[in-house]
Amino acid sequence: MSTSLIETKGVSKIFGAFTAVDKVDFAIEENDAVGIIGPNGAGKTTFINILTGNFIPEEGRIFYMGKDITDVRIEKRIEMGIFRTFQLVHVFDNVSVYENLALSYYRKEENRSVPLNMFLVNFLKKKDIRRKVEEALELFHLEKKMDDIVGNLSLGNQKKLEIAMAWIADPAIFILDEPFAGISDHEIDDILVILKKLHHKKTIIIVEHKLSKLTEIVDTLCVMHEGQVIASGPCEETLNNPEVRKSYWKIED
Amino acid sequence: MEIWITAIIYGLASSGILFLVSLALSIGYGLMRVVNMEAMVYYSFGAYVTYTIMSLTGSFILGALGGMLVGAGLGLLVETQLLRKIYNREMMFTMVVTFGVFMIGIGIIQFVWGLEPKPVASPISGIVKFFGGVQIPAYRLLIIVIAVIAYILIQLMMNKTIIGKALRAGIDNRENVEGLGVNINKIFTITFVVASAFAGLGGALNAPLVMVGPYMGFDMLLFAFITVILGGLGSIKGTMVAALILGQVINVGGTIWAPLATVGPFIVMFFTILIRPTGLFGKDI
Amino acid sequence: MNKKLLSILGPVIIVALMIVFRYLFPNKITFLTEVGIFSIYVMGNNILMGYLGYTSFGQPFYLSVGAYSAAIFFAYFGGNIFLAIIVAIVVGLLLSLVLAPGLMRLKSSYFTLINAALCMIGVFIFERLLIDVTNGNDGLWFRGNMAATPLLDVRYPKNFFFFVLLILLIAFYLYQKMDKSAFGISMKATKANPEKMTFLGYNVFKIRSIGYAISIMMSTLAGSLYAINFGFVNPNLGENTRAIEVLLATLIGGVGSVFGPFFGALGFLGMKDIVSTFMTRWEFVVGVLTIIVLFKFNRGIWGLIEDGAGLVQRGRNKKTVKVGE
Repeated sequence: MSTSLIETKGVSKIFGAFTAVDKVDFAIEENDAVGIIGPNGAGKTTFINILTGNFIPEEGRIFYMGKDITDVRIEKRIEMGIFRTFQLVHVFDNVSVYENLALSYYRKEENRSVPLNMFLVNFLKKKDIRRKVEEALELFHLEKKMDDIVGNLSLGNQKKLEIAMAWIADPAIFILDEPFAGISDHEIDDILVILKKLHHKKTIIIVEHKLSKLTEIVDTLCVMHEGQVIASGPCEETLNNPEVRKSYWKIED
Repeated sequence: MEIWITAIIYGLASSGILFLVSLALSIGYGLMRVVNMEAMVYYSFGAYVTYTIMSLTGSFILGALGGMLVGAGLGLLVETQLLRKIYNREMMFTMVVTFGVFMIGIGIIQFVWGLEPKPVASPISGIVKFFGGVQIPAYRLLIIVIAVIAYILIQLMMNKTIIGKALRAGIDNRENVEGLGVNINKIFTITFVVASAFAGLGGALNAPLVMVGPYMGFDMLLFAFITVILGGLGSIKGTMVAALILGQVINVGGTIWAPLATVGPFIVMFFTILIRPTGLFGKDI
Repeated sequence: MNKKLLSILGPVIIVALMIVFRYLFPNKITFLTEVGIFSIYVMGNNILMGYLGYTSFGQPFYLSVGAYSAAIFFAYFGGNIFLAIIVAIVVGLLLSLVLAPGLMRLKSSYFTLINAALCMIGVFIFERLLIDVTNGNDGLWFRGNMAATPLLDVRYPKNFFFFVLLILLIAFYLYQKMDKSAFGISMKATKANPEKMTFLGYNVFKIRSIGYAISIMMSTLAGSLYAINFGFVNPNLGENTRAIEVLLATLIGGVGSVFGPFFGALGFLGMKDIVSTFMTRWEFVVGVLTIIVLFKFNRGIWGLIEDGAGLVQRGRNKKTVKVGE
């Protein structure tokens, strides 16, 4: 068996009487792209939260590059290169676009355990930060918004910014929670272009409802239903799986 | 021995006042997520109105009723004119706004009644003798009885009436309750006015025990806050338990070492919060 | 006026303004000195309120800790004014090291109230517990113990004024540096979205604790300057009733801005000065002002100046500053 980049074995997350994630086995190879789909309440976001360390699963183990990380804390997992975005856009709305990106990049470059350094660094003046941030701004077509306070941007631009913040951090694995929710088709295409550039260069896990867009960038689909993975495999094949047709599309054969 | 029993019973009376006054804070937070610092205005006005009515008519009961009514009226005014508009703002915003209202209230009191503290005579002067020679002023016992009745009433309101049910549902899901045709705003207002009336009553009952002065609300605000924080913001049961604990800290503690009466509650709260950041009965919000 | 120019000239303009006032109104020198000291106090509170999103109802506690540190130093240990100020700052640092681990894990509403409690405990400590050291309510007098300082003898009010201005100038430059540094931006980002900060890999607790420590050190610095200015300290300085003053001054100046605290201090103390000539108690005015500022004026005086100077490009960069969050 080849080692997967990240792998879960029988993980479950239980809230009181409700089992949100039920004994899920999941694996993704390095530089693959996997889409996770499923109806609302299927446990997709909870599952992501288990991968990133927000939730510690009641049962099962999580492995990252063959190493058991089940009990590893959030910060440690981020250092290992697991980076996520959020379903409800998470950006810093009281500082500028530039500063948002710089914050994301700076953490990776600097030793975060020495915060005193942080008093000496000026994001605008530090050359390598500036170069990298400008690269990101260009790639994501946000150059014109560089100095804008993020709270004044459209939702689409904020979503783009959040993905740009992931991109600039250059993680080993991108976990994107509904990156296309609530934004226009045009903006989705913008993001798709960038994600396609990362395709097969980076490991990507995307939770999404917009299937038509999703299948453009993922090789594998993983369908969740009531906390369980009911099917996974190549897109076409998975979507035609009888159980998926029944429980996801509500089509009775 | 008598001294300790006296202290414990005095403590229960203090708990009674604390509970009545803190209720408005607890309910304000529990229902609307508003830390309504101005609640102490109702308490101060309750005491001042009692003073005024008593000096005009000589009747404490009329005075206390007046204090309750004025407390309720102010609560109604503030809730409908101000709090309703800021429910959805950040907690810090509402705290500073309501503190501003509190300052205005103190200003009005200074304007109407002046800076001099006003004395209020105790309405009943009898002393109840217990076994073993313990002597307790009847008035303190009356306070305990009234506070117990208030607690029972508020619990009945929260658990047995449609108001309480709608309230609890309303906190969790406002839209749903509104969809059922229940006017959640009206229910908030009613509950808030009831809590304000209790704060006014607390002021009226406390008037004979303390000097009625413009800053009485300030002193009480700190103790009321300790009560709700210790009990957990938003929990009525927690408020009651915390009031009971603090009453004993103030009186029994004060008997052991006088300064504990003022600083003891702060120390108790300080360490409780460091150990349990949401108070004794608070939920993590 | 562009931003870069402003960052260099801003502190200079403010200090120059103070000096002009000083000669225009020679009898207002005590008032102006107090504005300078109060600015530093407000700057400290602004870190909590504007950068970290914590509103403290207990800032007078930290102020009085600083004042008493200096006073006790003068009364019992020595006369060196600079050393007294350093002692106050170090005490502030130590105090924040003790308190931050508890306080910086609290929800903001609990933080607010725990600080109110600290205030009460502080008054108790200085008034009762340490009565043998502090003389309780009679206050601790030490003017005679202060030693002369070389070059500028700051024991004299007219010289002390310039000394305060110098400290204010230094404070502004450092404050500005902090505002633009990675740390300043991290604090603001933490205020906006601590969860995202965690998921970028920052240690939110550490950022908050350092911010808190800076805030407390500025408060104790201001406290020590208060003490030197008056030549005595009493427990009233740390009373809860005064907690609203610094909050209101921060709001009036403009929450989260670098120069706001100065205008807040000037505006607040100026108003207090004017109102107190025809009203003995001014709670009513404070209350009304608080509400007006919060509802109609939430970017404060600095917001008006920014708009007026056209510093902010129309519509694009307009910040809406919220209290807390």
